[in-house]
Amino acid sequence: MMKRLIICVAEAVGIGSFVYLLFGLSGTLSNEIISVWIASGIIGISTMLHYTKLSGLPAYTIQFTVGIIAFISVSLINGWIDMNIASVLSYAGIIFVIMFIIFLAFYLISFLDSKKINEKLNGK
Amino acid sequence: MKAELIIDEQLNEDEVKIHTKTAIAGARVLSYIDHFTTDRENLIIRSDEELLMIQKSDVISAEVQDKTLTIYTKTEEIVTSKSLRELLEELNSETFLKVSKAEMLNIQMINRVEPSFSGNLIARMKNGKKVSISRRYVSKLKERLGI
Repeated sequence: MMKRLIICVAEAVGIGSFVYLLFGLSGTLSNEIISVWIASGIIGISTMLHYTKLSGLPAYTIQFTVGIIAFISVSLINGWIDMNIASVLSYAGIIFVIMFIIFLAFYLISFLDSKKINEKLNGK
Repeated sequence: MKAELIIDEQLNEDEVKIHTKTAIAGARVLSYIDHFTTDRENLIIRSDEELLMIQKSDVISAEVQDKTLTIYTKTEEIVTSKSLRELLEELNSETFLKVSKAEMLNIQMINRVEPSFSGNLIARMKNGKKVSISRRYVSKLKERLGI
């Protein structure tokens, strides 16, 4: 029940944020919003690797690389970070940590599901 | 769980009605019944120019690649032009579950499942094959297992 509640809240926050950003399209931030959507879409495309024969570590490596490059490009285009090695590397580190936390959350959910399913399979 | 047997000689064929409080319990009972009835039936598969007959319960998994369906059984791999949807319709059993756009598996043939960073589960089947279970189908597998 708690898991379902968290999923419902997360979905609602996601939809709410999306609607809020839609209103932002008419303002001065429109280019920034569109560029973030494009970067997110590119990461989404790289997620498709998990549905191909190329799965596991190579797929994660490509997905992380694509994600970091996409968001660094967006940040440079929008002027969020300075065009120097130190800024780019520290920003890449932050993106890596954020992506790793998201992946860890997915892993945790799938770990809990696998534990329950294995208990049931062993008991059948 | 209460169980009642009613013998009615007026019936043209055997009839089983299941009354459960929850959909999960119902799905589990249906899965048990299918395992001991429908799954013992045979399935006819056209492969190349020959017709093959296999027992439904021998099917471990099936996957579509380049519009070709490969059915994995305990002893062989059968390639057919049948679609995954058609196969599932012919199997017509709660024992078999579509687990992604391109794969289905026999729940009774899962050895164990493993987590992954993508959120999908990896099913290790009894023939050693790995089958990826998409996140959206995990809840269906849990429901079939009565979780």
